[in-house]
Amino acid sequence: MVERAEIVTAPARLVRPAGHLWLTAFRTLRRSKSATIGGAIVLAMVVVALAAPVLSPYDPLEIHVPRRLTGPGPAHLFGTDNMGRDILSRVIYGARVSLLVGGLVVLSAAGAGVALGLVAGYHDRLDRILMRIMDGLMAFPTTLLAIALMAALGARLSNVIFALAIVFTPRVARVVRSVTLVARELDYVQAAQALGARDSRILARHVLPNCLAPVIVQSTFIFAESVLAEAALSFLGVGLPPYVPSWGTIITTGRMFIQTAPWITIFPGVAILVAVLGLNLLGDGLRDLTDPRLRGAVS
Amino acid sequence: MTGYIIRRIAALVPVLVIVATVGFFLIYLTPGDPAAVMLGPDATQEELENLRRLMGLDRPLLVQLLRWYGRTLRGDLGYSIFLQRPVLQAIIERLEPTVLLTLFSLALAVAIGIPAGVIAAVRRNSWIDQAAMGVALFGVSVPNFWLGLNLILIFSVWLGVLPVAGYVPVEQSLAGAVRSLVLPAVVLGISGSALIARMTRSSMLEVLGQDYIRTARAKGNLERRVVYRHALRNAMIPTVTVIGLALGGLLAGAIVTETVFALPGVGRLVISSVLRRDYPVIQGILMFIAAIYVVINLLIDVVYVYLDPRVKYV
Amino acid sequence: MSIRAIRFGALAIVLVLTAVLTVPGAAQQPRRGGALRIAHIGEPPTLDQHWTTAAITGHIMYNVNEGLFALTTKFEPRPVLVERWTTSGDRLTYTFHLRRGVKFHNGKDLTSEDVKASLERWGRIATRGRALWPNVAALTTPDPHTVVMKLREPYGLLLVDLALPGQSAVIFPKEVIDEAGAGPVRRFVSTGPYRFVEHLPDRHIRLDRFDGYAARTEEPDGATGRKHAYFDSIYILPVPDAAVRIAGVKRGEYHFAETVPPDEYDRLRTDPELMPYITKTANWLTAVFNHRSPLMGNRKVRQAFQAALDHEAVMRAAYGNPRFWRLDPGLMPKEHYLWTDAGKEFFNQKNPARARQLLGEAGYRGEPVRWVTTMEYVAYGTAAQVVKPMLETAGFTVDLQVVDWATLVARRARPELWDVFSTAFSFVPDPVFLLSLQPTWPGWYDNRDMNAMMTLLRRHADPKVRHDLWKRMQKLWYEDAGTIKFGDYFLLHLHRRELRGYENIPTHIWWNAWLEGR
Repeated sequence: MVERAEIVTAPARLVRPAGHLWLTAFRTLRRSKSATIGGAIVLAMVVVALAAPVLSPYDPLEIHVPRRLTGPGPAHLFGTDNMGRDILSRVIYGARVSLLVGGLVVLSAAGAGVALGLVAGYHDRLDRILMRIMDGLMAFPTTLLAIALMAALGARLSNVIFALAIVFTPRVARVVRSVTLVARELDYVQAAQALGARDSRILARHVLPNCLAPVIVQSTFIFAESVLAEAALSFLGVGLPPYVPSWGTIITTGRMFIQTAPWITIFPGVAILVAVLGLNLLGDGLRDLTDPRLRGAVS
Repeated sequence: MTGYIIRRIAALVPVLVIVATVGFFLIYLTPGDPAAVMLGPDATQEELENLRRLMGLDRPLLVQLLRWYGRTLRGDLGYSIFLQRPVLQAIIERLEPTVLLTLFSLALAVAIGIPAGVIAAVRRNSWIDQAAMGVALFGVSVPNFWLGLNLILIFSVWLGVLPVAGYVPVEQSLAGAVRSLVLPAVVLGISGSALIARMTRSSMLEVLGQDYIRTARAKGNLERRVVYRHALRNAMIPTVTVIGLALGGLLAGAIVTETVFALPGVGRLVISSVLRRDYPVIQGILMFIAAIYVVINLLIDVVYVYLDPRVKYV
Repeated sequence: MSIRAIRFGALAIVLVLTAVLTVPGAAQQPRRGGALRIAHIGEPPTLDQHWTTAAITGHIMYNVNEGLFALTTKFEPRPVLVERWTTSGDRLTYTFHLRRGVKFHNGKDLTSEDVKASLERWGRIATRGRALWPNVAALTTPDPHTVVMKLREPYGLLLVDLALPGQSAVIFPKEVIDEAGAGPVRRFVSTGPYRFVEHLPDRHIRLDRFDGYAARTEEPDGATGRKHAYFDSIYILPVPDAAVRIAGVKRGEYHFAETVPPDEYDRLRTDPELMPYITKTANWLTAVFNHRSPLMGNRKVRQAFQAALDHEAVMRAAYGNPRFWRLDPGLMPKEHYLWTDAGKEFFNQKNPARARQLLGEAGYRGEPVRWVTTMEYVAYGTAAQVVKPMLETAGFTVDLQVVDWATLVARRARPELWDVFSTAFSFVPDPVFLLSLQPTWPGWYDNRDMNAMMTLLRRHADPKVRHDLWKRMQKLWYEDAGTIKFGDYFLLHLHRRELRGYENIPTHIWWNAWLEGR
């Protein structure tokens, strides 16, 4: 599987470190329609999540039984659930959970993946061991491994993040390793080596920047998958406990009332769809921008 | 070729060892005493000790690990007290719906995904491409379980044309089995075909950009001939890979989908086992599925090398 | 008979819901054949009826198992496997003469040895059995068809004890019991109208008609009298999702759905194919305290829990439609002759300030209350979620653990694993049988005064004496915050119109029911 995956994911163009990173990133983003739309959706999601206390009309945890199972209306735009909790507020706070899970999973998976990938790509002896372990972890379908980890760890937010980080780390490590393998052979890296630069310096100054673009692309997709995976785990009852306002748990609650109160399931479902769509669009766009040869490819 | 296959099989060994190790340590991540949770109501201290001994929980970790490898190698995945049967037997009993669901949805995914990907690549940037890729993007973004719930509502509850949930085994009624698998297979097929379409498109694009295609075009070959004779055949190579990858996704998706549609498959078994804290079953399924997945990928790699003799890796 | 003295006649289960009662098509001719498909809430924790009080096990296995006695719709005990019985003048010796020609599903004849082995096992492991057994002086089998039970002191409710359907004193063949050792039985063999065929977890449990069944001749009444197995087979299917249970009954995939949300009632009753069935006896929704845990063993902490609650919010959230629930402090329902509201000042206090004060007095320092609940019975999990913020307002830290029902039942047996768990109690004909008053039942409420009064309650037959005693017991119960009673509720089940002759007292009665031909 090692060999094959590299064909799909090995980047052709190697990016040199940019000066004004943010400005360049913004300008670059504007060149792709899907990246622009995706970026806008993701930005909106971030704003909603950060401004949740301001935006949500009610406390998402507030139980007010007399108003239970109210349909969408002026008082409750998305209606209420069987405990009278406001669905709109729960969906808004659900964005927080999704963002938190997705963000922390991406940070941990990218952090661990980059470190492992660099080491593996640079040290032939460690490469064999590390990549075998990554292969072993990748032999599990993602949801299954996450479910098994959750079973062992228990239904908590931190455990969802930990489980998904473990699941996605090998992917980043793979990508980084293949970039490193290519970068090692580049002239200026060879030159630096010949001049006696320390390994850590070479990795940090010359190899790491080359990994940036593919890791960002990969991270966007991991983000999208984490949002989906968290929702699925919570829906299955092995993710977050039902009182936490996550899009998955809201749907689980609503499942029992899908005929009498379909609004409980519809709105969080749409929220997941839009968020994941945005992330995928952004990922597609970024990939096209950084690697036009692979336009439309999926890692 | 033979040498390559042998090397690939040899390379599987460390992967499977890792798989077994992950399975083993799963139980050590667990807070509390698994023997206690598994025994259930009114267990005496004596019964607990017995079970701990049976599970080898009183031995040093390394001994337990080695014994675990030995057991796994013999295909002994342990015993489920809740289910009152060996884990392997429990898995095999649940295999039918899972295998059928995965195959149905794979067939659906390939039947839709590959043509869509090819057409999108050939008519790059046309409205067909954009529409197909738009739908595909929707397909990879929509949560499976939510789609499933909505389809149940529409087709089973409102229209009443398909069963709500549950499963009719094949030996009881083939038609019944098919009817109970239609909706779940559609749900899984949608995400699978979306994935395959996106991947097929990009590998087609890559092939279409190759020199020999340009040469074929320059020689005045008909466009259709170029696409089907030259490009598609070569694009099929990475597509085989894509199918392998999609299969992993479908297996994972089956876990969720089976739960939504109450199909008594391996996926639902793993979810019920998590809720019951039935660790031997969770462990067993984790390793069983991983082993299958690894073997399928091996087969795909072999097919891959067979299709494309230029590939000579490792 | 002493039982008369306890005035079972006065038990009159007044039907609050008479208006909505479904009348089975009595005039119709029963039809033999077909397979009944029952959608239940999940998997049973075990199929051994002696082993667990979990209702689901009884629902399934009471079709298979039979005891010496069973209850009528008025909760009076009548013989099942017993032909006739005599009571000695001192009310201490009961002689049971077994029916002849009763066969187990394995073809063996029922003998007094089987009865002895079964009752002894039940007395060893069942909650009520363990409560009863200290009072049993001897159980002997003078001949293969006679069993003699000697008591240490008179106990007027003995036959009810032997007749209750929950964790029932059913009879298994002696060899099945021997083979089980200290664990649950592995073969499910008894004398009932249906025999156990297979259990495929997450798929179904299948029962088939037992052709060798020896039916009684009396008119059927509740779980007593003639039993007729009209169905060829009964399938019990685990369908944890209530919406799927409902949709499945609508589509004709199931004939019967256990426990559906009362919120669906108004919609369901308009469907001519469907019969919503409201149970006639009041159950109560509860949160059980673990009196053996350091936290809930502290009386002040329990009282704080009690003080923090708004029962109306809990019941409304859990059951919705107000015709399905009512607030009432009585541990015995209003319709029962022993009903009292003693201790009502502790019921539905809605007083977080007092709860906070009690917590302070208890020296509580934020130790998490581990509350095990389930969403398989939606009402239990909903109630727990509604209560959680109430407790948090009062200063509690709550660790809500949502598991499936089978796990909850397994976990509650282990005192070190939990502080509170969710469940509900179905109606029992006398406070003597209330599970939460048994020191042997999970929760292990073991109050010396309460136990002493319980002994008196068992001994006395005079209604006046019993009522006074019971008032004092209930008052102590509330002062002590034994467990929480949130309120009474009535269950909503759903079945298709073609299912005829179904009865719900004292439990689901699916024998004597049949599927109307189309």
